[in-house]
Amino acid sequence: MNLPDKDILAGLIEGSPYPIYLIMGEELRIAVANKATLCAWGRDSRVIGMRFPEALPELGEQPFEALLKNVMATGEPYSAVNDKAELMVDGKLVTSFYTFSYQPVTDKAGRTVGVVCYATDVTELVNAVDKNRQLTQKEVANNSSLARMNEELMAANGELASTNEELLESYRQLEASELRFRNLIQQAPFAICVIHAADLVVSEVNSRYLELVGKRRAQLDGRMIWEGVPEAADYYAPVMQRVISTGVPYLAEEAELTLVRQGVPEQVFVDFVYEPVTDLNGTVVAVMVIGIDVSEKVNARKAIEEIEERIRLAIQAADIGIYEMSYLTGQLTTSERFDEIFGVKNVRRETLLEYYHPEDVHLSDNAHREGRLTGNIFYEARILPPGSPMKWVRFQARIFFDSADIPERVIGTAVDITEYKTLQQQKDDFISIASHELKTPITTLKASLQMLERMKNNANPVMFPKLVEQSSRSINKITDLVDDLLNVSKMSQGEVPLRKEWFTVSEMLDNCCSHIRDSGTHELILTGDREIRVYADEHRIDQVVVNLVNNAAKYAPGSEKIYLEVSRKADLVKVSIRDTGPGISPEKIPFLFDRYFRADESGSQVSGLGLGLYISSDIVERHGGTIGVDSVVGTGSTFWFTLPLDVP
Amino acid sequence: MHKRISILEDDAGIREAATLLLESEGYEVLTFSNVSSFMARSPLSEPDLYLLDVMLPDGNGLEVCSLLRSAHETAHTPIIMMSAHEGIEQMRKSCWAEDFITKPFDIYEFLERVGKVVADS
Repeated sequence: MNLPDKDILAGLIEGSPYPIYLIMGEELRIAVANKATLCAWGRDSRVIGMRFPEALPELGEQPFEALLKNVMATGEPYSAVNDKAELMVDGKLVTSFYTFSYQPVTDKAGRTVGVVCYATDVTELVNAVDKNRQLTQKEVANNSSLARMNEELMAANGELASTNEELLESYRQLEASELRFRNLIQQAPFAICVIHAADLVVSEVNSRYLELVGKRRAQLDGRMIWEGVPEAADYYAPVMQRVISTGVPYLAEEAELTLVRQGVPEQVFVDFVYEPVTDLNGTVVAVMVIGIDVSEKVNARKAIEEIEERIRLAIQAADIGIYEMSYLTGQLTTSERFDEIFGVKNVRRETLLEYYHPEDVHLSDNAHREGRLTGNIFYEARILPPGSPMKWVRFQARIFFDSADIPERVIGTAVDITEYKTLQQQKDDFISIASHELKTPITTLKASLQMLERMKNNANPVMFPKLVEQSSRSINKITDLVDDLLNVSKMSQGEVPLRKEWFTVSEMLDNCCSHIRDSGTHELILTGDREIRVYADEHRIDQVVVNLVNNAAKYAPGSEKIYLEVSRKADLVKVSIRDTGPGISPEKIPFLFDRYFRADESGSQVSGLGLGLYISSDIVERHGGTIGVDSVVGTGSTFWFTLPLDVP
Repeated sequence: MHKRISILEDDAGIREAATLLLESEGYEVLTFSNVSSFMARSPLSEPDLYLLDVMLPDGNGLEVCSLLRSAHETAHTPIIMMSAHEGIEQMRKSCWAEDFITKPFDIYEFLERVGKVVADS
């Protein structure tokens, strides 16, 4: 007899009303699964070729995969009777019962290469048997029930007694359990308060909760919660009500609460939850409040935020540019102000160096090299930002090293110190001028004294008085210069007091500047109101006038006449000193009253410290007046100042 | 015959003190208080020595020095520069003078330097 061909065999399997499937290999790949199998599995033919556990993931918790593996490993067949399987069919988990066997499939060498399963669906059978058994049991029960009832009645009495005992025992257990629960609450590391849903009465509260809300136990325990913490009621009473009615917990993070602790209102931050506690029916019977005081955490964070903000503001106010550079990547990160100082942004260090003054460009490398040893960078360099004048910049930075002591990055500041440098230069110039000015009378004084000494035993009657006079004139000049210097240093410390009294302005002008009148080089012409009196420090105001007249004589040597005018402007008196000299160029005017400013920079010399106008403006301003100049080049200058009349 | 010295110095005190000192030593002294009056001096009164201050109201003594050196008549007349401001090195760089004196000076040293320069000429 010929064997039927493969197709027929396949047809036999496919057509079988019993589930037949073949699993191949260690991987448990589904090689064959007939229609009955697919129907039982609730799958279609797409599972063929898939791994068994992937095709039927719902079987993961059930023993089948392990059983198949076992058959694969051991070659021992396995069979089961009325075994339960739960499969996903049409999206529902269906319980069925199968009697099945797993048979090993071997190759020619006798090795197990697969498992074939033959199964029968016995669900209906099992169910029927089950029902039958139940019915039988019921009948037996009915028969015996009468007899039992009797027994039961007898037993009931005894049971009642023992029930009583059991009840007592349960009660004790319940009591113990509640005690444990209370202990748990009391010892919990956070605040807990249990509140009855029906009347909002506090049934349980631990000391941490009392501490958190700053209350005594008597204020809360057994009382309505909002009577205990009325300060939180406005906001949180509705919230709690919602938790009770919906059963949805309420969570609050870093809630800001004003709690009255020991009678003092205090701001605290609390993380807390209103957790609904339900009975078996799902009704909310209580709310458990669990809270942690996170004030310290929040305050610490806020303090850091505040410090950061302050530092940011300080940096902004101090006009400090910030930069950070990685030595590894060369990446340079800069602040807005830093970019502003350099006039460029988003560049690398090499590019920045191109904007350094050629004489200062080496300073950066030097500083970084030295910084590798000291950890610090400090240098001042001139830079030439595109499109703006030269700037002086001070760099100060800290180098951070990695664990192998290799420089990792540098963080530092850049400050525009141009103004400071200019002032320093002016101060240096001033000191140089001041020393020159002092050396001039000292030269005369020294020469005169040496000549006097030389003739001390044989005084020359002609020279002697000349030399003595020369000496004293020199001493006066030195004294005046030193006074000026002292005045300036006192002014910067606000130490020159005003001695005010009433005087007539025109009289003061008549008497002042005798040195100019006597020298005969200039004529002083006084005009205007001769009656005006002011309340001021006459000596200081005289000093101002002398300064202004001296300036006129010095800077307008060709102006033979100097005009002094007194006039009244509302509640002010105005004193003007006018010359017909060369005038002052407009660009110099804003700086005239600055300290150390000298009108002449030509290299030619005008004696004096250049402090006159600065001292004058200080005196006038401290009287509550103003000082100024109107000047036209080629026509002359009018220096003026005002003093208020309505004082004292 | 008296040796003649021309002084260009803006400070009246120094001018007078130097004049008194040099006259007491028998020199004839001519003084000028600024560059313009100095430039307008009489060519007949060519001195044996020029004493020049550096900082002047209308010019610079170092420039005057160079000017004197470049003019035929004065190219070989000795010059001593005086300054309270510049250091001697600074002055030496800026002009070729026989000597330099810093203010304030010692009168004996002053006279010695002046005497030496005048005698050498």
